[in-house]
Order: sequence, then structure tokens, then C-alpha cells
Amino acid sequence: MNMNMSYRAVLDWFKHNFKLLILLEVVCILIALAYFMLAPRIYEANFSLSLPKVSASVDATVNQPKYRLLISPQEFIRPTQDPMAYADEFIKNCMGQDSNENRKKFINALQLAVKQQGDVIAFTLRLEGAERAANCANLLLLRSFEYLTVNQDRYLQANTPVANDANSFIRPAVVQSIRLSDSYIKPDLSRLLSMAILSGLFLSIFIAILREKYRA
Amino acid sequence: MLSFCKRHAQFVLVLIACCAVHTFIFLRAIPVFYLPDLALILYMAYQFKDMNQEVSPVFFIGLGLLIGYFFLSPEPPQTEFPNNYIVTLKPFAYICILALYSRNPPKMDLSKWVKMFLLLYPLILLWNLFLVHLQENANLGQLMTRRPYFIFENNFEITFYLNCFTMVFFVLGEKRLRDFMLLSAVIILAGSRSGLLSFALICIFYFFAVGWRQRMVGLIMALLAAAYIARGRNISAPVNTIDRVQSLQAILSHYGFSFIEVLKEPFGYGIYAKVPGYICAKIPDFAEWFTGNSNNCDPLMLQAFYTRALYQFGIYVTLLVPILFFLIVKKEMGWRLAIITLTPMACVATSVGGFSNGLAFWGVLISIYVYLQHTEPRKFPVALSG
Repeated sequence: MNMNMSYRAVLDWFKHNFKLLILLEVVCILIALAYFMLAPRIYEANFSLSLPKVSASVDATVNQPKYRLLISPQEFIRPTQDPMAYADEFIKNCMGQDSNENRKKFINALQLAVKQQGDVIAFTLRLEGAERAANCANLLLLRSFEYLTVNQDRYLQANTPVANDANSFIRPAVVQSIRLSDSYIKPDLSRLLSMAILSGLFLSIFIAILREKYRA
Repeated sequence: MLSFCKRHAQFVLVLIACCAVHTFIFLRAIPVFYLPDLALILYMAYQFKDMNQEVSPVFFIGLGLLIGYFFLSPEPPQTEFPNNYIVTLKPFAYICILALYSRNPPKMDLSKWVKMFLLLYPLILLWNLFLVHLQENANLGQLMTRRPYFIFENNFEITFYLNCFTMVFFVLGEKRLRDFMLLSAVIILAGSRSGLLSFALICIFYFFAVGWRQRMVGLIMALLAAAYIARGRNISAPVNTIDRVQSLQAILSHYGFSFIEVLKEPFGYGIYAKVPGYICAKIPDFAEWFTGNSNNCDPLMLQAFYTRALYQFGIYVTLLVPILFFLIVKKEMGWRLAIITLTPMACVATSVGGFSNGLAFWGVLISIYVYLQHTEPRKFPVALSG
């Protein structure tokens, strides 16, 4: 399984396979450039929401926080990452067509992170076209905001003393409004070219090995 | 005196040169973090012509991980500051270099320089303290709280120094008590907790290798070093007040202290992922201290390799990295010496970069070279020098 590698062997390899290496490098770079020209432009939309809070236990000491999260970040993130949790209309508006494939694509295009003191959810949505990314981010913001508000309203309905005191709860809020990437984030030309160069090198090594093996 | 100088002229000259280099770095505070990596690149370029060895399959695993994490890690949102991901990728690059260059030692006699460094380093640390005394008019009590160094933070240098000791003691078989006493003195002077941990483990190997007289003296020296650092660095304080333990706890709290949650991220969050701000906020002032901005929470600020790797690489690759290092070193030196050689690096990884630190890597690479020059002198001859 071990492979011998020496200065002489490396030089010989380059001498014998120089043409193949150049050819494959050129082919891979051309493929990368063609992909770059034809690939859809992916834009990124970012926004963040703070989670609703309610007053902490009455037994809380002075050093303990005054408020606690009504739902934890994970309790919010898990259903948000469920492809079947979205309305047909939502998926249609975001992805063009409501199909199972598009639902999974949408979830894969969505990144959720917990920010600040663990009370803010940051959304990153990567979709084709700046307009679509912005529109879909807007729909997602409205949906998430509504989900959080409804959750808190239900809690407040069940806990009238808390609902009557405006200082004993904090509503969800938009911490960062929708912000679109400066330009498309994918395809990334420098990344594509470095992948193409590496692929050309590995492919030429592989073909050289095959050629040597089957020539004998 | 003259004859002494004649006999030790080279040592004295190197000592003066090292003190001069240290004085320059001490006064100018020049950036030195990537110096070992620069030296490594220069060495690889210089020795490329002499490269001729069987490359183990571990090379391809290291290369696969390097390329995989670089290209396949989830890309961060454009609104985030970028990570210093080059440092994160270094362990994989070191695995590849080790697999390619493990049997490519230089022509010079490394053991001579390693033995010289064992004597030089404590003197340079004393020189550093002397400079501090001159600059700040510090008294002995104040000097005892300092952590002297040569070029880098002493956590890294101690790892290298421990490797020099293991080379002389275990590889060359020169079992002098003097060297162990020097090592204890360095551990005492440096005041490094991770250094003490590495020293404690090396002591175990040492005690198995020496007679009872040397064992007793060694034990007294080791206890002295442990007592001094325990007092100086307040080791009796609760464990969770140590910053590295705090950062590990903060990361584990991200997984809810659940092993299942750790397993749910088998390849970690990737090399571009920031540590969530709420995790950083749990480590008082850490984010601000390292980056000046708690929203720019690079996992590097977690410092300990294991903590950072758990978050960025996931548990499997975190465990795989030491194993790959071990497999390559074992191939050259056998499993006993491989364990001894990698102990300092694995210990310091609980505190700083460890497997991603260039100086620690040099310690391992030179250990292999010294072993090869010592055990296979015909195959790896050294140039004769005066």
C-alpha cells in the first residue's frame, strides 16, 4: 500500500506526463469557467429575530436574570428545519413550485444560528436571484415573527397576571432587518479555479497510474 | 579560563547569538507566530531534492482532510468576519509533511544541536528575566511571577524543549541526571501549567528508565517543580476557574453537555464557522480580548486544540488527528518512542495549538530525524564538523 516518492520520481513523472497534465488542467479550468458562466447566481439574504421572553420565576434572586426565554433556540430551530412544516403557498412563492424536492432544497438553502446572548436567531437564506432571495426572506421573516408572536399570545392567554403587566414579558422583535449580499456569493470564481487546478492534478495522476497499469 | 573558552567556543558563540536574537525580539516585539512554519517551508524546499521515501497511506488521509475541510466546510454568511482558517488546517498539512519528509533528515548532526539547546534554553530564560529586571527594575518576587521565553510563548517552547529532552534521554540513551535537573529548572522558570502536565507524564517514563538513586533525586526535583507552579499559578483554585476549562465548558454547553448532540455533528461545524456569540459571552472578556469584538468570535480564541477541533472538525476527526500523527511516528520510531515523542504535543493541545503549532511539530520532526541518524547512521550519514 505504501508508495515510493522521491525527487527523481517526481521529476520523471512530470517529464513523462507533462502533456497529459497540461491537457487535463486546461480541460478542468475550461469546465470550471463554463460552469461559472452558466451557473445560477446565488444571493444571500440575512436577518435576525429576537425570541420572546417572559418574566423569570418570582423566586429569582437579584443576581439572576429578570426574564427567561419562552421557547429555547433549539425549540424554534427544529420545527423551522422541517421541510413539511411550510404551507404550500409559501414554498410556491419561494421556490416557484411546491414539490417535495423544492421543500428539501429550501431547507438546505436556510442556515440558522444562535446569536448574542442566546436569545437571537440569525437567518441566512441562499437562493437563486437577488429578488427571489429578498422575497423569500421577507416571507420567512413574517412567518417566523408570526409563529413567535402566536406562541407568546397563547402563553399570555393562559397566564392572565403576566399578560396584564406589560413589564413582565418582552415581545419578539426584528433585530436585523433583511439585508442582501453585496453581490452573488456563488459561484465563487477563485474557489472554482482552485478546485479545477487540484482536480486536473489528481485526474492526471490517476490516469497516469491507469496508463502504466494497463500498458504492462 | 582560556582553555575552557576554547573547548566551549561554539557553545558560547551560539549562546551570545541566541541572547542577541532574544534581546532584539524582547525589545522590538516583532510578530513571530508563523516563523516555525516559514522555517518548515524553507526546509521542505531545501530538502526536496533529497526526498526519497516510502509514503504511508496516512498521507492521503491527511490530504483528503485538508482538501475536504477547505472546500466542503459550510460557507459563512457574507455578513460575518472571516475566520483565521489557515491555522485550523495546519494539523492536516503537518500530517502530510510528516508522511512525506519523515525519512528526509538534513546532513548535519542534529543530536549535537539538540544537546546544546538543552543547556542553552535555561540560560536564555535567565537572560530574559535579566532583561525584564533591567527594563522594569523588577525585584525577585516580581520576576518569579513572569513567564520567560526565548522567541515564542513559552507553552510552545517547553513542548519543543521536552522533545529535546526525550531525544537525548530516550533516543540517544544519555541518561544524565543533569539533563533532568535542567528540565525541572525550565519547568519551574516557565511556570506553564500545560508544561507541568507534559512534564508529569514524561516523569513517569523517566522513572521507569532510571535506577533508584536517580529516581529519588528526580522525584524530589519533580515535586519541587509541581509545588512551585501549583503555588505560583494557583492550581489549588477550583478547576472551573481555569480559562481553558471555561472555554471547554462553554463549547460543551452548546451541545447541552450531551454526547449524542456531539455525535450529531460528526464533522463539526467546519473551518469557517464562528463560535456563537452567546458561547463567547460565557467566557468573560475572551472575545473582546482576542478580537476586540465579541461578534467576531473565531474558534481560535478557544485556544485549546481539542476544544476548537471538537467544534470545527467534530469528535471523530479530533480523535483521528493524534492517531494519524502516532501512526506516522510509530512507523519510524516504534510505538514506545512514538508515545514518548508525541506526549508533549498531545498535552500542550489541552492548552494551546498543539497539533497545529509549528514549533511543537518541529519537535516531533527533529525527534524522528535524531532517531534515524542515531539508529541508521549508514543510511543517514551526517557531515563531520569540528
